[in-house]
Amino acid sequence: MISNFHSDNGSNLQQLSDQEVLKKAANGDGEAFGMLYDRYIGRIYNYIFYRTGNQHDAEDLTSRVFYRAMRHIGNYQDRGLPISAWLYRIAHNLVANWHRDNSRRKEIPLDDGYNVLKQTGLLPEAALEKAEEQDELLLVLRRLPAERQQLLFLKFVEHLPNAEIGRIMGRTEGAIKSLYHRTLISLREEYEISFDR
Amino acid sequence: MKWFRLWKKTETDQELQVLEERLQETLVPVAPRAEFVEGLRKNLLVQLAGVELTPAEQNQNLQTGLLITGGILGGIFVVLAGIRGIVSLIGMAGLLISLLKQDTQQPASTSELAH
Repeated sequence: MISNFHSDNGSNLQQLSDQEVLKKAANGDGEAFGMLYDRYIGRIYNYIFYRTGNQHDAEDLTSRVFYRAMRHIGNYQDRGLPISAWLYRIAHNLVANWHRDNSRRKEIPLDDGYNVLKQTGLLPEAALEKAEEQDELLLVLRRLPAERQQLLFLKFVEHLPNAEIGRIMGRTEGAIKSLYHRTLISLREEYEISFDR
Repeated sequence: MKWFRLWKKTETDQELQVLEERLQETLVPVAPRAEFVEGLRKNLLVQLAGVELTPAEQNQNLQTGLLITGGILGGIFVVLAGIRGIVSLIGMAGLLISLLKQDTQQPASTSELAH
């Protein structure tokens, strides 16, 4: 029988750490895998959405990330890294393949309706201008190297501290600080170039 | 002067601060579609656990399992019985041969005794 994700056992799973849930999932516990899925679906989707810039591909690649995780969960080796690092690694590889396959394709702007500013109380003209600025910033951001995009995503979307970002990206806290500073500088330069065009 | 810059923010720092604020406004969490999240979870769990079986399907599987087990056990029994039969035949043949040998040897010995 298929495990019911919202069963009593599910509430017990909620109290377990990621590593404990992962261990259960690796032993074929469907409910445990469902728990991991619920914990990370939003984060992985967001990451891929910002990397691809559209909902359709974000959904497609997010599905692939979890199917791949499901197939390889039995081989997962705990090296003291958070599970998110493993999932982001899978997502990163899939997005890299996606970019390679679509390298000749015209850049797709972020979906309409995504931008929260369009739902704010700003005057239509001001909101539109702001939204355009943000879309431009996102296009520039997506021209940065993958690891810099990931860093900005973890910092601004997930609001993670540098130490946690370091654990996910396999770098020291100091290296993350330094990379962050360089990323901001290169983003600003790219942004200026983009405006000069 | 360098000492002046130690406490006063440079133009670059201010620009970066503005950029950080813009990033903060732009990079906001996006919620995936609920249908997508539910659908994917369902598909993953189905694939992980295998297709759900109805009681009738489960009974059919049990019957198939019993038939296979019975077939294997029956096969083993037939093979053992065959071996046993062959061994019995060989034993019978050996007995007959020894009896025939005894029959051919006995008249000679009786004639020898008569003389």
